[in-house]
Amino acid sequence: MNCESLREIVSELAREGNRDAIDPTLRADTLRHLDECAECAQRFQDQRALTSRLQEMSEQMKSLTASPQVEERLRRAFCQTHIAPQVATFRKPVTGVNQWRSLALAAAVILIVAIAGLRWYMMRKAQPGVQNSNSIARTTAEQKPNPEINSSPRPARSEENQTAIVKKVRPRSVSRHVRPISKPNDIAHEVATQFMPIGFAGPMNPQDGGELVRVELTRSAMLSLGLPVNMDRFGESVKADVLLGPDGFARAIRFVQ
Amino acid sequence: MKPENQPSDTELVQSMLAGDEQALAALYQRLQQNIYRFAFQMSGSASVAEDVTQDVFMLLIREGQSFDPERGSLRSFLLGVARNYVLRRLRRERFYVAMEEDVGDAVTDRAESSAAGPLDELSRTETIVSVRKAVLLLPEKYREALVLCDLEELSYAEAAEVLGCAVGTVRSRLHRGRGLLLEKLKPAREDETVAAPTKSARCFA
Repeated sequence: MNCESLREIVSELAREGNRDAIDPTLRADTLRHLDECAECAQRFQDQRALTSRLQEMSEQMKSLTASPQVEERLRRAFCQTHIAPQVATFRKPVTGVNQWRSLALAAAVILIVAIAGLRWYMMRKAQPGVQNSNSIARTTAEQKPNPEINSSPRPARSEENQTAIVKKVRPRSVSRHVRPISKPNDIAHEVATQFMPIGFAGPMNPQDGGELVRVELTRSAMLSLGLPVNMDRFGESVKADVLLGPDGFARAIRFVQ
Repeated sequence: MKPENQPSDTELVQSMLAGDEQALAALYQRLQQNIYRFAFQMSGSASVAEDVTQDVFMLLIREGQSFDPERGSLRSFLLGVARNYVLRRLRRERFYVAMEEDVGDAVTDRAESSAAGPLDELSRTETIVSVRKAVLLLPEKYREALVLCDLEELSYAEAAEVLGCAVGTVRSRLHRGRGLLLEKLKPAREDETVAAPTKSARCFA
């Protein structure tokens, strides 16, 4: 051991009370050198004095603590950190590509809603036509044959037809192909009749035979028989059943609506 | 030395991360003095020490999962964090001069309440204050080694964990730091020893 070597470990030797002990053999060599060299002994004493001062200072500072406000602030921050994020997770800011995706999605939703709304509006607009046709059908259906006038041998068939008309009326088809229809009041004027005798021929005996013929007549024929006529459709023909006798003369007529 | 029935630091950290406030309180009570003292001895300022202590535990609350028990103790981990905060703060505030009373207040307050004689205590306190001032004048890398090993009484290995360097580096920095500290304290002692002959010379004159 020489003075140079001792300078390197003198501080460690002076800190011997601390946790990092030096090798016993090295320690023995060093102590032996200290007995021989006064300068190194002085250096060692200085280091020992420094160690004791530092230990004293450390002891004095052992009780140093942060103020209670620090702990209070930390507890508050802890509560905010561990409770707030559970709520805040849903409030993450949308940025970059995600922002554009969100905007595109929002635009698509708005477009779909707008188209759906427009379609609904168009259907809604077309609804009165459907209602009209329904009301027409209903009106037609409600026009039950007058038992006094229309004692047709086929009343059941007429009702079936009317029912069929009602059933056939579908809102979509009617709404798309709305035809000009006469006012219900005009239709009400024209009535289906039962057989009315024509001419002055004698009463017909059913056992003699005869024939029923479907013909188309002008509406003026209805006028000549004193029946109401829809003047808006005066030029159009009307169907009628004519009962011919065995001799070929017309004996009776009924107008089919 | 903590009793056997008490949870370890790692267990407390896990409980704290799971939302247990009492675990945080236990960790704080266990470790805050080490952090505060280290920050105080490094900066010489009680306010800096408080800020650093708070920041260190805030980091533990927010990023406690970054603590790896296999890499070292929680105390070493937190002291390492405190060291970074202190150095950052010191570099940011290096143009400011610490208030005189801020350096010695913590020590002198305790000296007044001591049981020893007042004069002895006063001289003792003055000595400690002078040592503290000398420690604060050391370069950072020597100061932190000296604070950790001599004042906080960490082993070389623990100090190496905190500083993130080899044990040999800690040893050499400590050796160099102690040498510098002795040099800084020497002028005061030499003044005392030189002043005495001057006085006696005047008496003879």
